[in-house]
Amino acid sequence: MKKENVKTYALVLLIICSIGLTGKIWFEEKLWPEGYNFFSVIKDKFSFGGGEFVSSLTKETISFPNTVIVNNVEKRSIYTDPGEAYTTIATDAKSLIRLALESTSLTPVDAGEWSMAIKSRSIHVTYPVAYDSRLFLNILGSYKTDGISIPVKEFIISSGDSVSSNVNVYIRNHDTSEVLKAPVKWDKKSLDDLIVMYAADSIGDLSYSAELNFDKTNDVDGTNVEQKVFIEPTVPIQLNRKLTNMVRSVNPLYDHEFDSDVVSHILKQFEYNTSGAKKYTERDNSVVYVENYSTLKLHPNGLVEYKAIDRSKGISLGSTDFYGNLLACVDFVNLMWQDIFPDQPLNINISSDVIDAKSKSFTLTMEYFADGIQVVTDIPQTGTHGRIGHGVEIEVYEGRIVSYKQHFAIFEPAGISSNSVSAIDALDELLSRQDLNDQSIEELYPVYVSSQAPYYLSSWAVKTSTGQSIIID
Amino acid sequence: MKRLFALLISIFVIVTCVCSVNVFAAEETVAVDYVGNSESLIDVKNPEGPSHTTSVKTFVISAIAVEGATVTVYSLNTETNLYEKLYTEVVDENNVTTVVPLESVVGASGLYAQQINLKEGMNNILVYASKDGMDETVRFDINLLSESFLDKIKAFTVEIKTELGNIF
Amino acid sequence: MNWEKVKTFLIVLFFAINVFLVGFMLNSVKITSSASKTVIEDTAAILNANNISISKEIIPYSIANPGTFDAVPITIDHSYDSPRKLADSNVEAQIKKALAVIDVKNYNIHKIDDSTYSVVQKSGGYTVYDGRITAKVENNRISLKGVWYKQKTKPKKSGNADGGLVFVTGVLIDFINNPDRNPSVHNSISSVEVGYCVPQYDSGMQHVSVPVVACYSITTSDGTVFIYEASSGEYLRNK
Repeated sequence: MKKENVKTYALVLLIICSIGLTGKIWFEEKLWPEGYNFFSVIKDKFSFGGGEFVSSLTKETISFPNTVIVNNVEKRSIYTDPGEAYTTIATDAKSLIRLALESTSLTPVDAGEWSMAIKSRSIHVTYPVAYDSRLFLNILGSYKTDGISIPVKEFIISSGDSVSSNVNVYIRNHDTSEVLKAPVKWDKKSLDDLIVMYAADSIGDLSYSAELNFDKTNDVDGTNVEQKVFIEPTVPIQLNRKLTNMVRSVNPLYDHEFDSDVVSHILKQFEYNTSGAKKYTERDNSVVYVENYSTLKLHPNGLVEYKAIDRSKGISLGSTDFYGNLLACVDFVNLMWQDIFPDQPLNINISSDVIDAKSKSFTLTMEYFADGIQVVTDIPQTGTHGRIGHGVEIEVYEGRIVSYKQHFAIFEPAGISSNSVSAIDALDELLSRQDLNDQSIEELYPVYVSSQAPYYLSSWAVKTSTGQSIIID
Repeated sequence: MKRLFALLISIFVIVTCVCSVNVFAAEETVAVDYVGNSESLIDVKNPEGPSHTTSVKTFVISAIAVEGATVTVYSLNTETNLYEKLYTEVVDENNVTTVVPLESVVGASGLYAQQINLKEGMNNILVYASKDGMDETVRFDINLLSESFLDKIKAFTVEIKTELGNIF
Repeated sequence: MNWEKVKTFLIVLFFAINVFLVGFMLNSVKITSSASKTVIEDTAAILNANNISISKEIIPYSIANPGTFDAVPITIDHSYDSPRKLADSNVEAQIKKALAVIDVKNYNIHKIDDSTYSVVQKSGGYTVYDGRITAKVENNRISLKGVWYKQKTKPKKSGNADGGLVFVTGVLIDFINNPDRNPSVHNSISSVEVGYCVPQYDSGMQHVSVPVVACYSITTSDGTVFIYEASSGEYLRNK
């Protein structure tokens, strides 16, 4: 019996020692580098399903427009991503635009025809930024390399007259405002059916500047009131107040301390050794990692900044041409987000013009979107970082990322709705604060602007003819 | 002296009330031939001329006006021969419906736009702008083509197409 | 069921598990790098051929990775009035008392001259080259000035992706072309050691926490110490 008791005590002691040693190894993190979470790795290895990662900006969706407006004389509707209607219309629109840009029968037409097109049965397609048309053809999947090279952003697809079987696609030069027309062979009936189906709202809710003649002065004698603001003809103007939802931003990086899981993923994305990177903590709790001739700063407000100290040592994008590097940047942003937040969709879009298609060095900016509306990122300068005016900002030098800034934020509905002001009310507010000094308005679009953190309210923004962007809040 | 003082006060109050009415709310009706005493308060942009024909039931009046001008839309009642103020129903975020006049104050941009619903046939519209005791009127007619008229036109068009098709 | 046999089996099993766990713990931080005798001899030969005298005996052939830890940099500026009259026989003891007052532990004290002593920080048996306090003795007062690195975390495996360090022979070869080396002065190596240093990073702000990383120190016969970061072989500075 005694021998049995001794064995029992020995076994119990050995079991306790095993548990103790295992616990010591796990919780003192001697098994893995800082930030590594054994349980999250297991979860990653054994997670089945949980949904497919969704991003609004991918190699496939970069060719999709920002907005499509379907016009049917007295009916009109505007569509943005996401949505089945948007996808249906945009898919056809893209094909038509591609055929138009490939066309050898492009003819210049006057601005009046462009304005008339939106008043008839048509689809007005707008992209978030201007693209070089040759590069844009590439983005649309065409192999044609000798097409025209002009900056393009806006197209009108018109079902044309009842005599011709062709559909007309109008292409506007973003710099000169000259308009080209391309007749395209297309099933006109299916286009008409599409327009009839999706132009659902009254034009009274959404009128073009050309319809209201806000794009020009009256030719009639006796014009006695000075027109202070001119709006480009195809700028849609929301006349009524609209019920919009407030959104709220969540900081996924920092909540009293940095999320070690998130930090670890970010370090890996920037090719940092999670155990070997030198880490400095600043007075404002921001953290700086130094490795590979670069620095990676993480700020408590959700901002992440990467900077290559030696520009020849940035993160290689693995491509030799502009378009390849552009897509690689899009991939980089998506992969990082997917790695960190696989269940969280990423709604972003490009916000810097993509005109110089030959350069291996360029700056690319992106903005977040919530409910199809752009979220304005405006983080003031602090002692540890400069002012941040974009959701993502990437500087590429000779095919390498040498600077990367992203304000990590997840936008979700705040559960509060309110009436946003009409577009004219917004312009009243703008003009009450500043003169436009002969600049016309090229774009007028809804945005979300930070109200009292973390809430964002619906507001408006304008882009003027000189390229100035003004947020009206 | 007291009576004179009381008279002056009364006149002041009456004038203030009248002016207030003019500043804060236009009259319910405007005489058919009333022109106004100013020509520099408002320029109507749409429609471009005094007559306009349309087949669309909704129409957006647009104008440029001086900041602070109150702009009201009237439609002629042929029976009373008076321009009567137009009203519309507005539903707020709590789903409460209110009937409000088509009247608004122009802001710093000077832009004005107002959607109106047309009745079939001729719509005689008057746009009235007022500010600081000055007022201006702009008149125009919008003819909304009837459904039956449109159907006849469409039928005529189909006939022509068919005939042409037979010929060619 | 024969519980006795089961118990015996389980005892053996858990004993083996515990041996494994203990062995794992001991090895997880201290990864050892080592080089062959030939490499050491060749390195010494190359240095000698480049007019840098070095004895192959001072080149370590096996180096344990001391790891990396985070530390809080503390600026020391403290005066201590000794209750006793300071003399050669009791100065070091009084310096130790002064250091104890400001909670400074783990160090070596070196005499520079009659009135100046250098207190060098140690951690886990390794020298922290940037942790240094100068003790000046005047009358009965000891003035302590310098920077100390208060350890915040335990040393963890560091270095390159494999957890190892660049071997010291590579660093010694790089020393031949060190930009700060004066060939007529720094032409004899008296010691090669592993220690800790704090890589400098100037953000314009004072850091709340800094990394203390493994480094190699190459000391020449004139007393100059050249510091190299051990994970990358990068030259940092000299002292």
